[in-house]
Amino acid sequence: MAKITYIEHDGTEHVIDVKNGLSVMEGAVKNNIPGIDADCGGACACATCHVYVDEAFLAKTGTRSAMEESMLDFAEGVEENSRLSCQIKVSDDLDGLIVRMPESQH
Amino acid sequence: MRGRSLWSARSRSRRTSGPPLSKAWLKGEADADSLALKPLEFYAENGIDFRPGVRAVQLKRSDRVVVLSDGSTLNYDVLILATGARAFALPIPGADLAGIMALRTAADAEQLKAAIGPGKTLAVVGGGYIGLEVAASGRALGAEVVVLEREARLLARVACNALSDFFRSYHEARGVRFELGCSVVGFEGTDGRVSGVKLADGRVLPCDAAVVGVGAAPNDELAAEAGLATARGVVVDLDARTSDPNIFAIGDVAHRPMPIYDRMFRMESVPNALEQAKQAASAITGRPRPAGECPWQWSDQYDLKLQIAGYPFDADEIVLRGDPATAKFAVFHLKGNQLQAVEAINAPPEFMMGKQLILSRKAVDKARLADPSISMKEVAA
Repeated sequence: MAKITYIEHDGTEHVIDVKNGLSVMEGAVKNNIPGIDADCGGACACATCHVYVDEAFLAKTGTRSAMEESMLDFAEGVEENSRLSCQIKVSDDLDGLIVRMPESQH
Repeated sequence: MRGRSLWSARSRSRRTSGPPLSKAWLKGEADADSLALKPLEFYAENGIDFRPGVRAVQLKRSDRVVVLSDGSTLNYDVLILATGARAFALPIPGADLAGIMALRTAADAEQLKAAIGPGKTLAVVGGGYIGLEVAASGRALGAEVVVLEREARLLARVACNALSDFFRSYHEARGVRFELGCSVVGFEGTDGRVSGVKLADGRVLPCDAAVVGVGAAPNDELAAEAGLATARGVVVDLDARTSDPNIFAIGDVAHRPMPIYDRMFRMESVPNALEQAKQAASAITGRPRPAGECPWQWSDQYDLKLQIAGYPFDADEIVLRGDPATAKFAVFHLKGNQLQAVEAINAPPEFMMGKQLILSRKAVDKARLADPSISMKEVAA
């Protein structure tokens, strides 16, 4: 279990307990948090679950796979700390994680 | 608009976000909860009266009433039909034996996982995308897998020869056996359980379980009986509205317009269901219609990611970009110099830019498209 803070582009914060094994994307979608569309349901096929990972957690959330890198290339406003949230798996290590959402997923 | 919504479920389990064949699920890492679209609390918290196990059995449109299978009735102001599609069953002897399943629900997937493993043989009837995904899953679970296809090649209705050949050799290299151009005439059983598939040439291929993936039919009976317009699905407009202004139909059951191809058809995909949900919600709440769309879908088999954008309607030329031998390539279908569809294997840029080009209808330079040394962003520029 990890407490994750999702911050919408307008600053609205949502703090959610997400079960280990789910992805950061699933934690958002199952709790109806706006701003993460996840059109493909987590298959790394659509690039609509783009988030910015808080700098303090960059190491713990791991690195992008080649597929993720390639899909992110087509997201809007990609930064160094951009990730596809369907590719970040939740574990106790990620307790306190903060992710921010881009202005748009399309 | 704030209203009460009710969701009555036809299937036994809650809807999942696609066929639950993910690697995590196969390895037992994903449980039913993680596969469910939303946790049960979600419905209560959002004013949704979710009634699993209750079916809508009749629409009385003149009274705006739905009759439910438990005998009760419901009044509605707006009704959304999201009844989906059901797998075609083969009208052949033995088709009702235990161990023969379609793979459309989480329960089917659980049954499959329980039935096969090392030392077991899985027969897959139908060499379409569902059949191939199941074949890959069967191998991942350690089973022997044989795929039976009526046509002379795989994916015959949906893919070009290059893609058919690619999938065939990729699966064969991972131990899947194919019987192409073969006709399944029955199933044989022992103690009520499937033990083999009988072919028209007299052979019987032994198996411990069989998955039938030969297409699906829309569950449009409720609508048709109520006098709504149907045509291979419930006919809707760009707002997902049926011929009754108070009734909408979305997802696999809808026969819907697709402006970029100037025609109507029915699709079975997650993105299609999401798009139509947005159309209906926008119309019901008086918001602007969603922007133009390019239909798309994906399929995961082994470590391959297939992403498909568009449909190759009226296409007159195929352009191959990349080398299938590297398992990283794309097949573009063009009508004149406009892109109609793209099938991308492990090639996200080709998929993402292809999707944009299909939607924009922009003229494409075929020579540049065929040249992988020119980036897709440059090709589309």
